[in-house]
Amino acid sequence: MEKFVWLIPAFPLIGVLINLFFGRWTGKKAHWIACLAVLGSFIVSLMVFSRVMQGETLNYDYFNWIWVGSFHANAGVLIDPLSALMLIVVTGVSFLIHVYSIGYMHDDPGYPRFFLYLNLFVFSMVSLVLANNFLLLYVFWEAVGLCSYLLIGFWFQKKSASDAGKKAFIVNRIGDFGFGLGIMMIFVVFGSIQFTEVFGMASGASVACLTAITLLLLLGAMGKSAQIPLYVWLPDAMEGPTPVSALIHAATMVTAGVYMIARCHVLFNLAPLTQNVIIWMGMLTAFFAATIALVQKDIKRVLAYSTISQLGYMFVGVGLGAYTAGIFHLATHAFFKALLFLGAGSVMHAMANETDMWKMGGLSKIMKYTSWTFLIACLAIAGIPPFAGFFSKEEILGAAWSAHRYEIYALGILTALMTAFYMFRVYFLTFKGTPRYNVHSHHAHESPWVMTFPLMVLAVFSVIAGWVGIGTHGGSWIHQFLNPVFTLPGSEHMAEAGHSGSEQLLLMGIAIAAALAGIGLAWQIYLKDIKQSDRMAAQFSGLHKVLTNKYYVDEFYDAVFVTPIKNISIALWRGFDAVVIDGTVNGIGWFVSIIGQLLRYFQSGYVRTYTTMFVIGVIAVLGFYLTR
Amino acid sequence: MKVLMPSIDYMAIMPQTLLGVAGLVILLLGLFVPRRRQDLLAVLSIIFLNISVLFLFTGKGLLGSVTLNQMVTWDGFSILFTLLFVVSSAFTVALSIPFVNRENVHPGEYYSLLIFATLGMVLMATTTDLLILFLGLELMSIALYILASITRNNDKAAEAGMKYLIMGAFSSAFLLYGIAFMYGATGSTNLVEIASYMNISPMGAYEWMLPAGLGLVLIGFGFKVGLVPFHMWIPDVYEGAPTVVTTFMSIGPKAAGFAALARFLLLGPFIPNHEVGNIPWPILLAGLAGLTMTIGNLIAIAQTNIKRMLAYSSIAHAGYVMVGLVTASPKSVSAIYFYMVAYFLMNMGAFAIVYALQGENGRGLALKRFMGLAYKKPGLALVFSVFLLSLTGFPLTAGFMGKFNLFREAVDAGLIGLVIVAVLNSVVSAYYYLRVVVFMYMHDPDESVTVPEIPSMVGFVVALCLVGVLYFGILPGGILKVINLLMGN
Amino acid sequence: MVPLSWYLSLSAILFFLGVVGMMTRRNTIIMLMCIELMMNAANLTFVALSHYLHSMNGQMFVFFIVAIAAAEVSVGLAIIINLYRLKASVDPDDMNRLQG
Repeated sequence: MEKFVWLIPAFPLIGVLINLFFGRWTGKKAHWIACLAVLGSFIVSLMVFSRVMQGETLNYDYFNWIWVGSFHANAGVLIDPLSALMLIVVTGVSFLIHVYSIGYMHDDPGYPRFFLYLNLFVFSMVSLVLANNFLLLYVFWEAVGLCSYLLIGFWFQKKSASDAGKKAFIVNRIGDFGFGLGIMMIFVVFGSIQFTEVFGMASGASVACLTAITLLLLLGAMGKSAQIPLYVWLPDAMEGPTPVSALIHAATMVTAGVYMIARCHVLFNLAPLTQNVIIWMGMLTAFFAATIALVQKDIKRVLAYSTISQLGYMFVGVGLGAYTAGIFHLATHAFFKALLFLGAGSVMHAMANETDMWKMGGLSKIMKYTSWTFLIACLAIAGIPPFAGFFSKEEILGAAWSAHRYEIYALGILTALMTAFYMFRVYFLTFKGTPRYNVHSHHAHESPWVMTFPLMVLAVFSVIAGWVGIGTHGGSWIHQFLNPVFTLPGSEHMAEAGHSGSEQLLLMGIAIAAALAGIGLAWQIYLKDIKQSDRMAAQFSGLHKVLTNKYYVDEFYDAVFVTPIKNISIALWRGFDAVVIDGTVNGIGWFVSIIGQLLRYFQSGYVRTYTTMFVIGVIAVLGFYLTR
Repeated sequence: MKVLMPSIDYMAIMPQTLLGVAGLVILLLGLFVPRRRQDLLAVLSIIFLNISVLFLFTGKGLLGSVTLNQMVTWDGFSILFTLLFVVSSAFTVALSIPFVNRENVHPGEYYSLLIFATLGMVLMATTTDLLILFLGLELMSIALYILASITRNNDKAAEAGMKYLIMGAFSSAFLLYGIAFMYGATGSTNLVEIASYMNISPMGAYEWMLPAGLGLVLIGFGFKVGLVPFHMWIPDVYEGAPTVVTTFMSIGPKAAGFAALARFLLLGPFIPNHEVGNIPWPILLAGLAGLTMTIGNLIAIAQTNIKRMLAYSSIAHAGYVMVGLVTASPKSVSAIYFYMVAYFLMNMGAFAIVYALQGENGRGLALKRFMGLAYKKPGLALVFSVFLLSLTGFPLTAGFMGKFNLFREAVDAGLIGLVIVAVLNSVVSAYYYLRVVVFMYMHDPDESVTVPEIPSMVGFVVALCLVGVLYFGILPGGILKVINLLMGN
Repeated sequence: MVPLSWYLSLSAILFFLGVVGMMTRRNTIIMLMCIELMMNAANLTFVALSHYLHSMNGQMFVFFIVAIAAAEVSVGLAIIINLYRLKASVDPDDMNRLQG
């Protein structure tokens, strides 16, 4: 397998290089190279997947990369069911989004640059998934962060966009700082950074050590996957083009944190404190973000907070030890969230980049494909069977119940209700009801087939993707596929133990009821009697204000962290750097130069001076002898 | 009375003989060749030079041959240095063709003097006897005194010639005195024999003679090489002499001086690690080296004339090479040689470009003249920048490789302090070298200055030097292996 | 038998005189003479040592030195004459255009 696995990152890398050096000539045709590259990766990923289904795995080092003392890092790949699944999800969704971008970014002057960055991102993301040691993982972790920065700030002439890019990068950096420390600690404790080696030795380390390591790793995951308290960059990241939001901030990059925890499940299983932290952090994030999504009027913002919320679910899943459930939700979420974003993009494309839902309405009559696929996605995310989201969300909630974490279960159900509510709020406000915009000045139209085709493919998957989870616990296809990864001899395996059939039906019932309740509420407020929303807003005006302003978290961060640090930096720059450091360096230079000019005077031009100096030299040399 | 003919291996002295004959022939021909065809003489010189070198590669090879009572020795060291001298002379001859045409210099005299100077240098490199060493030194020096002032109507050149002569003769006298003492201490002027007499002092109460002699000999050669405080002639002579002659002077005699000093190292009397007369020679030499580098670099900073600046830079480079002498290991001699090769290439290139850019009568040499050169002659500016970077010791150039080799040997021998001083000096030197680059690229051109046409010969020489600098900087392995092989490492 | 130390002292004094002359005299021709003085001091040393060591090497060396000194001085005089032609002076202190 190693003979062709390297093609998966190689294709998009070649795409990057071609577009980088020959971008002037590819111009409008840049998409051919980019899309073909990602398609190539996808096909190879399928090949890998089929091999893995037959039971093959791979842990292969292509070349020695860093060997310093006892620190070895190789360029190697690790293929197992987890990475195989991630690969097809990442490459498949990426491909569809590449195709979509052909239509969406058609008129943009930075067209080739966009595909360059997209390819660069795919390269980094698949390499992240393929990596078989922590350093390689970290490098590509940073690389996807870089791509995120480049793509969020794609329209860098707009200040809000470039600011958002910076914010994303900086907040991520905070998380990555913890991640880096965690990796260093792993090396110190275990003497290696190769996954297989570290995981093999994991049980030998003390719980305190492992807790510290896992907490540090968790910091990284928090930043990348936008959990409390490092989620603030994701809503701002909506400044980027919508395909970017779909690809990076919904389907792939933000899931890297979940992937990383799943990959290091051995470590996390041995640190129950960290797992508890993860569960609470995930659930609180999910709940918290859902509340904000209830009142946002920008369609992309709603989807952003929704992503944060769903990511919270995934973290709850892995925190409970139900890694398969978490990854399952990751996969299904990739499909329907990407679909939701692309659909929103399609709407924006039709509405001249309008994002305020209060200025939309009634689009389902004009944009049939977009409308239907969007509906499917909403049903999926709300958790209505037989759509995908139901099965994956159900797994997570079921795991919480089995672990007797009823408080988590309750919050989860409540959040599911809110999820259904705000998603259908979006649907009703955008597509249903009477148009709240000037129908005659805005020529809304359905998007071209390059954009609607991916929507349809994703819609199909949003329907069927969940079916791999059908079956009693332990018997469904996805469980059989992923279990070997997460079951190590002797390690505790929480929450997958089946509960009785009737219990399962009860849980399913509660979940479906919650979803339907949410949808019903949304229908009531936003479709039947739309003025009701204004009345409710007035009634709960205080709460409404807090939610609309996202609990003022950004303002808090700015006052407590950003501004003080900025002031200290300015003070250091003016006071220390300019005066002390520059002064010293320039001073030395000036001093040397002065000495040079002084010495010049010895060279008087008179021969007699020269002979005198010569004789002095002779005396010095001979005198050196005499003094011995 | 029978006259005993000593056994002379004529093949062994063929190169020197040929050079001597060549000089005389060209001097004579100079009387008959018409002015228009004087380039012929240059060509003839180069031919002679090359033929003399051919003998190095004859079937039997000269390697290992010793003749004339050990006055001429051909070992790897001699061969390598002879090659260096001959090649640098050939380049100088090529460079001189436009010079001779322009300045109304008598070609016969000029080219024959160059060849005689080369002969002197070759003699210095191939001998192990102090007599021949002195002979070669004087031959080379006298030829150079004349060459420095060969443009008779230029008062700066005349002054340079006078100063060179006075200082040169002065130091030769010291050298002689030193040789006298060494002879007195050991009874022989042959270095090999001196080495074997090292610990035996037949003079008894006069055992101070050997160290005193060594010290004076060191001073004599140190003058030629440019050690501080014996360096004061260098800036004036380099500035005053015609640029082509300066080019020759900055390379050949310096290398010859170092060859002579290195010969001492190879054979023993002067091994700095060996305490002759209880004098810690390493400290003395290290002190001289450090002083030379530092003063050379510091004064170079304050210069405004490019020839003078390059003169001080050559003083500094002599200091770097001295580090190699302080190390006194067999490998360091190879390093010294490689450094001289690199130095030859970059110095010749740099001076050739200065020559090409100067105006009538040696005008146009102020540093300010270089402003904005990159816009008027971008190719030339780029090439000049490469040479300047090489002089600084920038990686990927021969200059870096030379310094790296030298300093690595020094570090291996434990001379960390000296190497630190040398590296710091390299940093300081970066200022005045790169200042020229800054002038060329980052200043607006002075419209009143016209850059003269570059003679094709100069371009040719510069190109060869550029190739050499880059090649030895990037792929030095080949030549280093050859050098080490011949030096017997 | 004149002791060697006397010869050596004599030549040292001569050499020293030559050196002092180089440092103080303001006439280039005199400076050339001083150089000759120094070289001859060395010659004297050679001869004395040769006699003392009973080796012909030293005296042979002197022949070479004499020849070379002659060549050197003739060249030196030619250069000084050229300089005089240009500057009308043999005072080395007048020749300081090259400085710094």
